Amino acid sequence: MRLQHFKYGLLLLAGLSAWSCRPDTVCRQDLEAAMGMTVQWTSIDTAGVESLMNQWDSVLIWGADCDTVPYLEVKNQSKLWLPLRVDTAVTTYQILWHEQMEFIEIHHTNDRQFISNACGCIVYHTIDTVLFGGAFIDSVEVMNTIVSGTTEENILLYLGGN
Amino acid sequence: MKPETFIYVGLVLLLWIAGASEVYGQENKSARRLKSSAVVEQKDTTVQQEAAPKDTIYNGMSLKVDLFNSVLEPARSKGTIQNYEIAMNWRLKQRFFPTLELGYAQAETAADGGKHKGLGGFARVGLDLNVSKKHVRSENVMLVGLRVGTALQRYDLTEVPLNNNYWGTQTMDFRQQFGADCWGEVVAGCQVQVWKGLQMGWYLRFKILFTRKAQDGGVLPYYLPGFGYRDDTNWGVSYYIGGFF
Repeated sequence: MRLQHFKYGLLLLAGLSAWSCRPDTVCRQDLEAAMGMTVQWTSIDTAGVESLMNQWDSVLIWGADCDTVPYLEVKNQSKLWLPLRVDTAVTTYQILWHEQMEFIEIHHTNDRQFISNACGCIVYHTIDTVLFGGAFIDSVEVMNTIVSGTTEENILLYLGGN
Repeated sequence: MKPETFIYVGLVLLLWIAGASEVYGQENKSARRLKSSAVVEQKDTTVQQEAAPKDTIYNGMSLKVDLFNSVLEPARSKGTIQNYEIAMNWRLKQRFFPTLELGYAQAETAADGGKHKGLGGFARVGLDLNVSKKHVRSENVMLVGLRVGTALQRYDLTEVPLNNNYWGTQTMDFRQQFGADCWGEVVAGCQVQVWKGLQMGWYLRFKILFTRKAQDGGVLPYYLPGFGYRDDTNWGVSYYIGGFF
């Protein structure tokens, strides 16, 4: 055995030892699962012309138990993603649209899945039913019951137009 | 690079140099011995034949303790990880070294995904092959081999975050979890005779974890005894001191 071989070994081991200490402790994955919500309503302008709208012209949304902190306030947006609660099976949002107040109550199941030690767990949801107040929501269509990310459209709201 | 990494690498280098110089020295001695015996052989072939060692099946066993992980790991982790290990191998037909390694580890460590606290034992079984071509019968051997390792542990994984933002930060605790893991290793190293039956040696280990997925609703421990931090693959180093019987 030549000493030269060990020099290469030394370099290799030193490099590996320094590099192999510990895996990443910081989560670099997107761990959000939120319900995708789209909307459809009929707008009637001053001339009485009807047009089918697929976006919120202006809306304010906040969680029922988080009255002081609005979740979002948007204008001219077609899709919204609403996070569901992981600690209970019912999530309620309040919606202010055209100066009318409405609520939607989503009943869902939560399914926890371990991702990694750097990230912890993600909770997926399965939508069971969606209830609403009827102030301006005419009906709700559940398009996809599984909430597993932030790309799918899950529910479609039909609003009473004005 | 952090100061601990410097210390760690420095100690690795020292241990390696100690092992390397020992192998180098011993092999030189063996070579010199062989050279002089070759001269004797030329003079009297009958005497040389009688002195040649016989190839028996069992050629002794080694019992060693791992100093690298027992001393360096607690130092590096500031005492949050403790790992104790013994290893034994049997020398068969000069070339084959069936190996059994047993150990115990306890760890308290954390990542963004939660805090881990666990303790458990591990075992590795495998076979090493003596790859010294010229001096197969030497006490000093270069080894390559394979291992299968398994670890059993009880652990707590606490403050595990769940996806949430608007509804507030939610965490969960998973206490008194039981984990069983399995992995394979490719090892390379050496085993040298330092002084009358006193041996030392090192191993470089490349580890591949087989048990990677958690059961539905379950979690996985962050640290595995005998494997290290959970990852699909991992590296390890062992530095042994022990006796040859």
